[in-house]
Amino acid sequence: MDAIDKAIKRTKVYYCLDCGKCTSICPIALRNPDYSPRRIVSSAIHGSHEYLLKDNLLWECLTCKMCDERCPSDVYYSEFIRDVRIEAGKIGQEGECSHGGAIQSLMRIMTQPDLKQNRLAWISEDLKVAKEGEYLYFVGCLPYFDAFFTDLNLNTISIAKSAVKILNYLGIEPVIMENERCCGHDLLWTGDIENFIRLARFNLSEIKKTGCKKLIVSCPECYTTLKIDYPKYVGDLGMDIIHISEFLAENLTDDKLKFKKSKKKVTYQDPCRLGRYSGIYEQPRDIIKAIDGLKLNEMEKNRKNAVCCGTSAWINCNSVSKQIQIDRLIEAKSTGADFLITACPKCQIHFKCAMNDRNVSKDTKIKIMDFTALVANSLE
Amino acid sequence: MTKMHNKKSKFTPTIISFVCNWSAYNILRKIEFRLPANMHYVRVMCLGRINPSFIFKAFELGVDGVLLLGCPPGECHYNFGNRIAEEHFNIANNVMHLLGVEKERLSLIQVSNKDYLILVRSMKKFINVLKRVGPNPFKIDTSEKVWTP
Ligand code: SF4
Ligand code: SF4
Repeated sequence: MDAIDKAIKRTKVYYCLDCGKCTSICPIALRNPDYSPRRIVSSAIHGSHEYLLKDNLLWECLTCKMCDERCPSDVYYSEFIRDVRIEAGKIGQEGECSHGGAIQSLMRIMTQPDLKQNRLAWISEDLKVAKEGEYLYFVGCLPYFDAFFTDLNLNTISIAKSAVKILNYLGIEPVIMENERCCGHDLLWTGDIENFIRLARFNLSEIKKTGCKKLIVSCPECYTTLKIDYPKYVGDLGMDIIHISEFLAENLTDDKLKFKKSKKKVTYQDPCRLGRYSGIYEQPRDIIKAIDGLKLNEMEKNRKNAVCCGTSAWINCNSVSKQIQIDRLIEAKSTGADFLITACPKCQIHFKCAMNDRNVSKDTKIKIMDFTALVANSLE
Repeated sequence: MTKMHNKKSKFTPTIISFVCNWSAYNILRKIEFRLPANMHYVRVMCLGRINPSFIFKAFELGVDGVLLLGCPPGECHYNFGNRIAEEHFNIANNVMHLLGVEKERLSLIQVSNKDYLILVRSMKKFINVLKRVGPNPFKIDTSEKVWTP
């Protein structure tokens, strides 16, 4: 049995009924008639594996899990794609890297254990962090995004600041690792399993060294990678992994959070990794609704039907991605919201990039704010 | 890292230089491409063609230094290329600072067609600086496989 057969078995691709529901819901297939998850599934079962591995369309998938939600046969298509990409990577196949592959290079450079990063300059005096304690905050690649995407006016580091501010508000001084690396999410999903393992092993040992009991994450991709993939590939972290929205929702019931009054109208984009992958739909909404006066206008496609932001893992960003982004922004704008709230820094990057395009209509222009930053700014 | 520094006496840094066709490349042609040992060049039609990915990829693959050779302000053949090159150089510099890669490993030198001496001196200076900084410790060793399914 070769690796593809194993993947077919593990992700239950054998159970495919050939119904085509996946293709009919897929945001890529809707805009690129060449791409069809149903066809890829059936060619994996009936066709040659060599052909499958060299199929360029493998790299088009957003791994957004929309199809998995619809599949009547419970096929895990997005995981199947991930496994096939790992095999394709071994024979030198890869997706078309956005930004010339700069971000992939950064992630690979980060596998080097001797690196002494300067990643903590954002911790200003008003933010209280500790050397040891119960809580660890995993920052992710936020400092890098701001330095790299200078044309997008991002300020993603405000997400990290906001997370610490919220934790401080709740009387917690989190530990922050000087030597943290990228969680490796994007390498894992683009077939570079070797370098993913290197990053994961390094993070695992650094995280364990802190001796913390609970790990708070604000990035949905770090969240699923640390929570689901690390135990599978490199071992258990031995601590609770909590998304900041889960943590806030817990504290909401205890009446510990007091918010300022607001008059804004917002809409919420469910990031794939937080929503469909982790089932965290209601917690961010509960918090948003708890902010006095803030109105949440849902988009038509919300929760498990929420459309992905159009690109993932920094590959195959193309006209289809742009079209997905434009359509989603128009949908967000049509809710009458002043702000589009998203919990993922990459959704923010992708949407802002689409709006930055001179050829994209002004009707898509909506202010984007991160969920964690919204909460921190609304605290009394 | 320290153990690598000890070897630096015999160390000849490997350098990739990206060279603008309209200025530095003409100088290289004049010196008949007699470049210092371990210095390699990539000719580009304008240094504005370079973006941070070129630079990071070079470091990922283990070069010790990256040298960008373009035109001085106001002398770009395409008018805006050197401005873009500078922007990309700055982005790469900032990201490298976050990564903890020594800033000396990346240099942008702006020379006109006739600045033969300036170019040669800057190259020498760059090599000497790299000798002091030592070999690139960020090269990934991919020979050892870490994953078994
Ligand atoms: S939805 Fe499921 S059963 Fe239907 S074609 Fe797609 S993979 Fe097969
Ligand atoms: S994971 Fe998303 S992009 Fe990939 S095939 Fe399924 S619906 Fe399409």
